[in-house]
Amino acid sequence: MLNLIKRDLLLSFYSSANFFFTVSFFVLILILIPFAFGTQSDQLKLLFKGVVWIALALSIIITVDRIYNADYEDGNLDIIMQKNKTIEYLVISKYITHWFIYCLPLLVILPILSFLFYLDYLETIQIFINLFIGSFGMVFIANFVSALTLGAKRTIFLKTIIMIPLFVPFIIFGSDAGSWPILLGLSMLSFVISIYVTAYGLRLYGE
Amino acid sequence: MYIKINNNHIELIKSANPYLIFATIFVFIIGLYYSLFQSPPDYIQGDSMRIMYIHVPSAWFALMTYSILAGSCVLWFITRNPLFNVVARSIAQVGMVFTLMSLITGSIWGKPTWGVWWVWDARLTSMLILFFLYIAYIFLWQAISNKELASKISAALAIIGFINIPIIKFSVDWWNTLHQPASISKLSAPSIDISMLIPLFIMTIACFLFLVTVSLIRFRLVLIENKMLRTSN
Amino acid sequence: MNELLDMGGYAIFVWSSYGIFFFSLVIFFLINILNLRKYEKMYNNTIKKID
Repeated sequence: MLNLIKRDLLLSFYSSANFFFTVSFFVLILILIPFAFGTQSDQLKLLFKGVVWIALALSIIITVDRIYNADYEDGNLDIIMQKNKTIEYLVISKYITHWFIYCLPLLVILPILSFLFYLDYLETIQIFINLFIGSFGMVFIANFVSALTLGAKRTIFLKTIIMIPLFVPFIIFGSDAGSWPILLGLSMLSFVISIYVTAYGLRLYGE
Repeated sequence: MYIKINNNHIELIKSANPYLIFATIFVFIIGLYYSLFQSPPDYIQGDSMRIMYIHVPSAWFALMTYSILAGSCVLWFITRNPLFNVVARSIAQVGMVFTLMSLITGSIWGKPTWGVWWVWDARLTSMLILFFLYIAYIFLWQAISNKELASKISAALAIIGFINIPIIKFSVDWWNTLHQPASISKLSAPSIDISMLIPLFIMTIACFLFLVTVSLIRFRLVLIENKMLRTSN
Repeated sequence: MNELLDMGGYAIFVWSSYGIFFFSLVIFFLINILNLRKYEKMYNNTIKKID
């Protein structure tokens, strides 16, 4: 499992475009808010709390093609699956690496962005906690959607249609500062479902 | 529990087809007569109430079809009987049409009653999500070229969607209390008059007959498709 | 008769929703039954060729 995590992280370090890809996407969506809605500070504050979730959802959706597809196409997935009988290890290591590569940079850049939008420290911390919990849940969902749609080529529209309904509860509870316990519950539920379904999908395609 | 479809069953379905079509048309005509001419207008909503006679059955059958779809996917995973997958695949598109119709007729009803075409209410939002789930089920099956794999994958997706629907309903309820007070009085019907129940009942039967007829036609279609693709499910 | 068509001022809503409903049901039914005919013909042709 540690080997798998190390391998995935090294692969993404070698092509460092991966990091900048989602971070720039996330930042650019948020930067566009003032251009669309004006620069009133109250309004910007309110909009930031909501749009940050839309930006997170979209930047996870655009990475869904990059989780299992490369391994599936060059045959690495088969080799890993033949070596380890319990495929759940692979799934958990993919969760960790996917979160590290695509979500951690967003959380790091979040405080800087929130000061650009006139948020105070307390609100920043609240948004940070919510995004931290919610991003895990979204990563679990993105993983199983990626595993299920391995055989469907070039269908980012279909993947979006599948993922949007699953992201709706996260966006609703995430944009409310006080409801982080429910968000935690949703993330745990999605973990339980996702680890089972991802392993199921990978076994189907690996056979 | 293992039911195998043979040629006798298909012949039976084939011979029942004209009667079913005739019965559907007949009941729809009776239902139209009752719902448009024979029932009195509602004393609050007036004649726009008549849209309910097609909106309510299609919403019921949209939900019922998804329940059957998810249930047969679960049964397929448990029993490994390909019949259940054929049932799921033949019923899905009818459910999508009913969902779309309930959304369209609902918003046409909402315009004169509420003054707006759409309200971000829990029921409406979950119907919209249900429509997305139907689209995902149908188009994922078409997108994967290996059809045996496609059936398994889309069945898994249908079950996940079935778990997702109550969560959506709960969270949108929460969201409405959080962001906006309920400004629009919801359609609460403590007592419906018998003269309104009769057309609703007839239209429900008509929609059910339509569901059965088209599902059986699609059942034959899916079986022939399977034979041509040389798969068992 | 005019009174019936008018629907108490809600004519456009009532008639358009009924129209859309039945139009799409009929279209959906026709698509499926024509597809079935097409597939049955194709299947029978392939069976004949094999025989």
